[in-house]
Amino acid sequence: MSIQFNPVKNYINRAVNDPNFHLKTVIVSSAMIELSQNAMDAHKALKNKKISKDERDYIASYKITNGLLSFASEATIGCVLANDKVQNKLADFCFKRLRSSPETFNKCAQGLKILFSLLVASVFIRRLIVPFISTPLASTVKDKVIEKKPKKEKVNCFA
Amino acid sequence: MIGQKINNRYNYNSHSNIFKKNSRSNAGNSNTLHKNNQINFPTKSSSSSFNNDQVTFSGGAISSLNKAAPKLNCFERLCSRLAKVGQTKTEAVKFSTGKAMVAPAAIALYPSKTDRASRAYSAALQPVEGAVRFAGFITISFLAGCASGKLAAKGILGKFFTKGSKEVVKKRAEVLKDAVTVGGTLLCVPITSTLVDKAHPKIVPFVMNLFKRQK
Repeated sequence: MSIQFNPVKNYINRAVNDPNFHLKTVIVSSAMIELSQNAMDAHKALKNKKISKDERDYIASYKITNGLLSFASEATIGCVLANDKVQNKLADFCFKRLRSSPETFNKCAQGLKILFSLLVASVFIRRLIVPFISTPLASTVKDKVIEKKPKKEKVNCFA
Repeated sequence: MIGQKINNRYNYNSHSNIFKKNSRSNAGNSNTLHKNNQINFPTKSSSSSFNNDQVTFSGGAISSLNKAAPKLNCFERLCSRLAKVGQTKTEAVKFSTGKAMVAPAAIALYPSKTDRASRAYSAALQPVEGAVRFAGFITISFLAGCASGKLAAKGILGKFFTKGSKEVVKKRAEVLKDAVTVGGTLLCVPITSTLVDKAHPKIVPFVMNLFKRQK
């Protein structure tokens, strides 16, 4: 039962020493959970025979595009927000007057990091921007990936 | 008169911090003297001597405390509280807030060609899905936290989780808990999605009827 794998120990040690690394892993893992849920929904939609095939394909393609886009956007924005330089600039901008007491400043900066990842990465991008992009993209994914419609043959008018 | 003499002596003592304790104990004696002999004790001088003692002692301490903890406004207080909550809990909270508050509004207000009834149904489905997944996440994180914490504390997972200072051990246990929670939620995705599929045909029409009655 005892953990003897070095990767696990290394990961835990790194996460303890570097809180930004821990934050990044948590953000990426939450995005992965979302992606897996979307994949599961797409799989179920494809198996659901109560609805027509056209609707089934559209729902599956929408779920796939939504999951992939939300994973990509959340992971990138989460990693950007977890970056030291960005964090310092944001914390300086918001809590300039707390610089005199470093303890409270650090606490507030850590809270700000969580708040920004919550508001920007999760709520704003995942729920507002990604559905806005993925809805028109879903039909193209449906045509090209799920149904695999053949390309229109170019007609050579000079032949 | 005796009281005044005593007070003058203790006023002298009160200026130096070294004799602070002595002055206080002696001042107590002076009070007893005053009570026993029934002499009009000059209150102003006595109070000034005590106040001097207190000001020299506590003034600096209060000012240093004020420097250490400045007053925080609402936003700063919110941020400092969020820092205490932790990562996995905030993940659960942001997932549920996104599903319960933002997603229904986005679906309802999104300009699409689909009919109004189906849009309303999918908007009402979001909070139900959010609630089921939030409940699943909370139970998994609670179970994972309890199990991993106990196993690590007993040394079943190896000496790695019991060695070192208390802070390091605690942090390692937290990281392990986060990892176990994420793994557990990933494994439970099929279960939560089947639960959502079974729950929404019963709950969503009920929620929609509630909104209709209000209108």
